[in-house]
Amino acid sequence: MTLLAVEALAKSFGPTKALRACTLELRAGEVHALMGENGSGKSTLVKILSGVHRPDAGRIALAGAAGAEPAPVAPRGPRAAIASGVATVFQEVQCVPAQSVLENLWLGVDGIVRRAKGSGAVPAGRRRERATEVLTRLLGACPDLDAPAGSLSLSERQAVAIGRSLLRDPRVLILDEATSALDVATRDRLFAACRELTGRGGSVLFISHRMDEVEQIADRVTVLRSGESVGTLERERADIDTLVRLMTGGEQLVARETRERAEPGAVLLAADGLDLRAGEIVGLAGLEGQGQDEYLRALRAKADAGTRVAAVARDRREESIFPPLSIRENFTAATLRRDARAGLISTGRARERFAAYRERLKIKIGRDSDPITTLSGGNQQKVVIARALAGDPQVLLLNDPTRGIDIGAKHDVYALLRDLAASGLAIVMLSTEVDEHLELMDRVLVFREGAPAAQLRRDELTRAALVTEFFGPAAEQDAESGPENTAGPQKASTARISEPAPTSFAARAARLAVERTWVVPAVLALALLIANVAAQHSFLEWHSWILTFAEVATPALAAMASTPAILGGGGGIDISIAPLFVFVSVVVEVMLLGNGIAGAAVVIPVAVLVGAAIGAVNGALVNYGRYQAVVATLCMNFILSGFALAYAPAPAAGTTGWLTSLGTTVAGIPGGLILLAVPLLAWFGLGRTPFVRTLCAVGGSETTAYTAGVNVPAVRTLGYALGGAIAGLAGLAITAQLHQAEADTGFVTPFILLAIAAVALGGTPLTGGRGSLFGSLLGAAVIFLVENLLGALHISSFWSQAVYGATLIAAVLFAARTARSGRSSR
Amino acid sequence: MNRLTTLPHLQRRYPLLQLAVLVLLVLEIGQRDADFSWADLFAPILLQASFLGIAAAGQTLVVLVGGLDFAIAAYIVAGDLLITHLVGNEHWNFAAAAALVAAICLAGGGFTGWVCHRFQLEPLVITLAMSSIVVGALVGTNTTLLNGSGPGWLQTFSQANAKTFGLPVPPIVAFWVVLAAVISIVLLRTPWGRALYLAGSGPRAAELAGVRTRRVWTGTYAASALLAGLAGVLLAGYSTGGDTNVGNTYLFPGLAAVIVGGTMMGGRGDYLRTCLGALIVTALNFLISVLDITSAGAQSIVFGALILLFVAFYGRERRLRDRV
Repeated sequence: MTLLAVEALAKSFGPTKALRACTLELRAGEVHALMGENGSGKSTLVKILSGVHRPDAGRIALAGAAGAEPAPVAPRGPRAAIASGVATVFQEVQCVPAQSVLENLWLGVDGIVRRAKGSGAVPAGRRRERATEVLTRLLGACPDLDAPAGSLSLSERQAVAIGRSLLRDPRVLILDEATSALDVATRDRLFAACRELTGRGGSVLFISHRMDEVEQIADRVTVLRSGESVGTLERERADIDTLVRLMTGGEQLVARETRERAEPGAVLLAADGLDLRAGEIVGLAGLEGQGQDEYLRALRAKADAGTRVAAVARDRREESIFPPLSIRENFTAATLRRDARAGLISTGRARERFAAYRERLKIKIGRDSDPITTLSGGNQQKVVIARALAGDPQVLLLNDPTRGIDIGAKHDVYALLRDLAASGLAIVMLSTEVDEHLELMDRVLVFREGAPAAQLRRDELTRAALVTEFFGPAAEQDAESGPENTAGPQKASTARISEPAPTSFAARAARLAVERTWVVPAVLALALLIANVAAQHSFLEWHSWILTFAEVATPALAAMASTPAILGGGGGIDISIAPLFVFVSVVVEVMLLGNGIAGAAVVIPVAVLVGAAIGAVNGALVNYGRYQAVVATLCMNFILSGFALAYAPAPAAGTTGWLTSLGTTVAGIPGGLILLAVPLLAWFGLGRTPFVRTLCAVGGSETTAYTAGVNVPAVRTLGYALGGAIAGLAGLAITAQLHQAEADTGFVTPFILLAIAAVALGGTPLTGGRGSLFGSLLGAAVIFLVENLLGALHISSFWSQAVYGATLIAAVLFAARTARSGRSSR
Repeated sequence: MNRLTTLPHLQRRYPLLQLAVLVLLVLEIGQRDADFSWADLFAPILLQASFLGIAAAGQTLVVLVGGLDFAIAAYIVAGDLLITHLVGNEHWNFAAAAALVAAICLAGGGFTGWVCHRFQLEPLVITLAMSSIVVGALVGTNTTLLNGSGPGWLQTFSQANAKTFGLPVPPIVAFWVVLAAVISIVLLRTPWGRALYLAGSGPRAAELAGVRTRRVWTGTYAASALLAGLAGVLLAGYSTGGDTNVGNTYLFPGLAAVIVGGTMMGGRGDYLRTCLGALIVTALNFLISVLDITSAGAQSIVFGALILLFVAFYGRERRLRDRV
């Protein structure tokens, strides 16, 4: 019975046709492998099935739950795909390092503020139990569910990501090269779990580069080539040769070389296991993450000062191209000074230099002043290679240069590399394609467990020999601990937060400071409080406490108001909080009190709602309008200041009974204290819903949250709205304190700086994901106490400004250091 | 190629929208005033815009490299106060006072860029803190700083009816034109300028291509502070008596000029766009005063709405699904 049917699916990204015509049928109860070279469209297909991308053409049909006929589906996002029963595990390990394993496992299940309910939902009490079950099945033993996910090993983190998908009880499980980060034992347990799923009538779409894994688990294999599905084979017919022929289109990847290769020249670069000679091409091979990546990177530093080395990095988007710049500017990046005449760059000269490479590398472009992003991946890569060659290197280091480029461009690159080697260049090339090694290399270093383990000369190079070396001698294979203890590329990108068991007191204190972000500002505030009392004994008296709370309330509320947007990450920062609370105070003074509306039951809700509404507009601009947060809130800053000034060109004064007591005491309690307690209690209440956790997960890793099914824009927008509501309270606080509303920019501007500074001082990193409202309150208290102390010591208020600036830099530096030391302790 | 010649593509390449808006604004002001004379329409706009344009020059560089500089106001204040005080009250040589301003700006800005890059700190916070430190330390050491006045020749420098080599252009406008040319040449035609674009548009790629990105950050923030200090020095001729708030008049409008001009974080834009942005922002102010809108707030509201509109046409963030 067909569970999932894909028909003639197509998808383009700009000039690149990632998927042309993909057809695939997934039967109930089977493990279906998907194979293809890099760039054949596997990832695009997965992203369409998982709801990330929408296809340009074609149909997807999914069988209903009760065995009904497949009906067309068009998932509008990961959440919809997961709800329809399709769960995906991506190659890039998706986890939120700062959150607990348990939180990571259930991420995306709940709604924004309401927990998941209904027939299929797992009640909160059973979640721990289910989590233990799933992780035990995958890992043999269950790790500490309350430990931060960042403290786990790479393999364990991937197991958590797989567990997240399994907990959703999918009918279709997609594993997109999800096994490359797993150790062997975990992989075998995953396969057992897959069998269990297919036994229940589900099916698995399994993507892997490893032929052995495909042989072990797959029932059928579909092969993709250049965005088209070229065939589906039963397992018994899917031998390596047939698969390779299908993947490469039958033709030989590189025309077999007939002419004799030149004898290699002098040694140019010596490293462990490699004496690189002029004129040779050396391949670096091995399973993913066996240390070849690090080795290649280290080679660059090992060259003698006199040797010219050029390198082409692996990640084209992040490490190679400059997206907004033109093709020509991308080309000249490493050789800027060559075009300089008397210090000025000559465009003509750059154009001339590029024209030579353009011809030689067959780069297909319109004008060299067009942005590089108008080119297809293959042509972009050729420009990057041209950039490396422009420096006349003696050694060229390439990291999987044909990754994700079409077959024609590949041929061009191979031909070029041969020519270059013939002219005396020494080339080291890491490749994930076995055929590239067979056709191109003079010798190949095979990596296992972090080091070169074998070397194959050209005359020894066969597919069998190479694949055998990938896994090592048979005797060792059982003892192989897998890629677990060797650093893979993912490992570097996913931070380790802390060691599971810090021993020394200092290490424990450092961990506490990292996990409880408010501890450091709390200690600082306490010390400053003592210093203040020592400098000015009257500070402890009751009437000065009332004043203190009235004075601290506004900046502290402004700081708390800035916090939710920052926690949500993605550069979320709301610099319009200060003008917002000033605007609210103008609304209160001019529109309400000025018109005789003075009841607390009207004024307070209006203030909070106005704040929340404007916060929501900010959130919508940033998250749905895709404006940069600084830009959107800068505009809001202007607009709000403008409205405030329009309604209150001069300070508008006025107060009423309850507002006056809010500035002093209400029923014996300082009004400022009440105002500060309200958002803290509300936040505490929200902490009992999924919202706060989800917001921090979004801030910690937006892609993880998104692929887990969290409605990222909605969560973030709600964060902005909550911040706005707190700013509404700040508007009440300033009106209660001053009995007037003032919209002058000289009055407003310092608060903008103050609010963000207090958040940073409060231990919340501006990159988001961690932190608390309470920390921001403490940060504001620290600033107030510093200024008060300097005032008590009769130091000019200008000096206190300088001291507060220096404190801020020190605090931010300290926070960066602790976060780093927590991360790097291994 | 048809796709490439469409309007959005041209807009990405040239600031067409900005030019059109500027022309419309100036026409409208002239129409309302029934006066298209050089002295009453163009010279005053250019004069005002030159201060804003010079004040926003540093911000342009910093935004291009992928940062933000909120300390600009402080360096403007530093330039303004030190010149008015040292030359006006203490009778220092102007060049010596200017050298002191330059030294303070270079040190403060250079430190900011270095520390932000070295420790990967948020430039927003660090520049806010630096701004507190610079103004606080300056005025804290000497409160008499607040009552000096600038040298006389500097005052003629920015007078609307002053001439430059016989041309009816205020010297400061001519100075701005020269400065714009110099900054543009440095940005677009020297290796240093190109390195700035590279570091801004692909920090890791730039590092791998041999660009010393930390030096670029240090140099860019130092240059930003220096240009802000220069704006402050020029303002010293315009104002009598120092004012610690003088910088705030230029911080947000300056950032607005950068964004309206079309320079976005990370290597997209140039200084000529900021000049256009400064002219638009200034012309808008004129229009509002010509329209006789008595409310002081109208200008701000129009600013905010205008930037939102402009940015909608270019430079929005990538979709979430494209970042997976």
